[in-house]
Amino acid sequence: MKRWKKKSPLTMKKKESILGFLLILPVILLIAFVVLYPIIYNVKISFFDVALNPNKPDIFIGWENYIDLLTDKEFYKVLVVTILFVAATVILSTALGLGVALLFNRKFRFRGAARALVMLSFVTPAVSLVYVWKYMFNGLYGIVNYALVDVLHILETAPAWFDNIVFAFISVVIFDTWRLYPYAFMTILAALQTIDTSLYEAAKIDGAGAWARFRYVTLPEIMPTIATIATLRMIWNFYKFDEIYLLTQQLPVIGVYLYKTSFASNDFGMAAAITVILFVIVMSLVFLLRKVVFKKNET
Amino acid sequence: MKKRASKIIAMIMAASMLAGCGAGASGDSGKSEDGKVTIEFMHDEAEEDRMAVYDEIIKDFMAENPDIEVKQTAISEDGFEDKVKTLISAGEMPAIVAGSTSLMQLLDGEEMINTKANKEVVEERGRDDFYEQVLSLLNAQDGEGMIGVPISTWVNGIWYRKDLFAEKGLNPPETWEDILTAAKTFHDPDNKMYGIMFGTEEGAIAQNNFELFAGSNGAQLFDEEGNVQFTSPEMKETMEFYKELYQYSLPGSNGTTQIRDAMVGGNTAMCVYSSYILAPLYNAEMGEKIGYCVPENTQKSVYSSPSIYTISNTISDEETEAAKKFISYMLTDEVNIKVLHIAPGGPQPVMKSVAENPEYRDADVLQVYGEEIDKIADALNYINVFGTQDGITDSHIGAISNSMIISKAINQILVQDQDMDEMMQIAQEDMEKEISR
Repeated sequence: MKRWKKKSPLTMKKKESILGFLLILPVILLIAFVVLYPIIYNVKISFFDVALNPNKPDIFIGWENYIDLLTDKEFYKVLVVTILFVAATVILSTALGLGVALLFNRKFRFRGAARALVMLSFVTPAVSLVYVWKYMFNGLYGIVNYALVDVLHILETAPAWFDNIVFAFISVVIFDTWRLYPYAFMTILAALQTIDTSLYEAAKIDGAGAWARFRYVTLPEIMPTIATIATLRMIWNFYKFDEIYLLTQQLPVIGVYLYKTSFASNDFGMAAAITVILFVIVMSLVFLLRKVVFKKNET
Repeated sequence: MKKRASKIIAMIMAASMLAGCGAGASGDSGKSEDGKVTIEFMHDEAEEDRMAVYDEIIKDFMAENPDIEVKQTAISEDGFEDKVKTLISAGEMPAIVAGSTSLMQLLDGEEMINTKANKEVVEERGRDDFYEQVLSLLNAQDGEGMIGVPISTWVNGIWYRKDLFAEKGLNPPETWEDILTAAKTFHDPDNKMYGIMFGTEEGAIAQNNFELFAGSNGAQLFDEEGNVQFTSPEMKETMEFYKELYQYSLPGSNGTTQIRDAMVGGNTAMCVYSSYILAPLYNAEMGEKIGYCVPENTQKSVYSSPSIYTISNTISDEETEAAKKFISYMLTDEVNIKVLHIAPGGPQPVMKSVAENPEYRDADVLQVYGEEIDKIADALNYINVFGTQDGITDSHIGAISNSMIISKAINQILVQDQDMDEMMQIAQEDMEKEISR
């Protein structure tokens, strides 16, 4: 018998690998079912004119949805507004979270209570917060207009805050930053507490001041955390819908554009094409961001 | 042995997972093992007190019909239509769906409705008892059936402060001239008093408020050939008038909250709103001061949106019969009054016998408004909505209303101060595009 034909018995290691694979197989199937299938289905329907009635046939239209989308000026306007919104909210909420985390990373009285208070805007349901904000800016009895018009006389009449695209953009960015910075705060604070204090002691001995200690000790240590927060927040905010749609109808971002396309116009094929294009854009940005941040951090 | 055992474990886990998925995918409507026919009834009145009333009605119905089981599914109003569309596209349309005319028109366009069964329910109850104008909104595209069975309807119009109008010696706001004069007279923004409030936000309220005035000017959205005529002289004249009125309103995108709050808070003497304003004004003890008008320029006109129950055409014959029985039960005087009294004044009766029924009139809210309630009931004779002419509803109106093209144009012209002719032309083209899809 030739040696190469002989069936070698499975080693213990191989057997364990197979057992491990079989045990995680249900999870793989589950992920394939709930993640991969919708993605593939979404790509498929982006090439169809989809009928609402499942008993009616979907009509294959090839690249038509993609061509319509990429030749629509409105789509580019929406894309630019969304990128500006994402950039502003990611930078501001991460920076604010970092600042507050640095302040809270020291001992003081009622630290626990103060930390809990900071989390309030994050744990309160978005819908409740949106309504509170809308009441604050209400033209008839809102506290903001009352203060600016009736008390301080800074403005003659109450502006329609959420109707002007610039005001609407600023209001939504402020709201989103305020609502979501506690997430950055919480995560960065956890990272700050893992930094070895001997690093600061060594830096002090070397004559490093407060800024130098932050620049050369703190920042490199927490940079992977910041990159993770920024990446996740970027993905979440790119598709942000609820808060923006509830606050104003005047800020054309991708989430709202998608909603209007899929549900108001019932054009599910076009909506699928939008998500495919966005998937490509967002994934490219994520890879770029991670590459830049981690490369910089390694050096 | 070990390998075999691991294979078996993995297969059991995978099988149980798939079995779980399968169980979730099965529908709720159908005949159960004990021979009962089960039908799902989906509506948008998800508030606890309202659901309790429906629970009681369903319980009584099932006691009278032990072979039928009705499962109530209530979805909050905000996400209701999206949820229905999602269910439909997944092939899981409930046996009975309660909703607006625009939703039913959309479902009719998708051929998801048993229009014949709906018509049979209406005819069994007696067509003559229904307000003809309400039924005229519900004719199906096939020209024979009906898109649903009306259970109640809300109607909009002009609500005004009778006491303040009397103080200033003004006529009730019926004609365009009287409306404008009153708006000018009361407008005093420095003291947070606005001449008139109406819907200007990019939402359904802006469109149906505009339809109130467009209808009173004889403007129709489609011509006889089914072409959109949003730039017709009547429509432009209405928009001009609307623009003028907006000068005497609270600036900005106003929706139901702003309008209702302004009226209840005494910040306006007049507003355009649905009959759902009766309860908040009653709660603010303002009921006796409130009057109701149907506006008129070339004709009297109001916008109305019936609450319709429709029967799916995706269910079995047995389920269809059960659905018909249940809707017929909802149309009996006693049960219909129970539904109307969930929010007295808001939903108006669609049957004359119910409108005249002393039991219906017995609700405290309705008593306070006195003769105004008769005016509201009479307004149902002047219903005029975009897309329905001479009892024929254009099949595209549902898609046009859902896409918010008209409300967007209104918001752009009034709130964003964009050029009226240009915006109306854009809206016209967008609607033409929607039709050609």
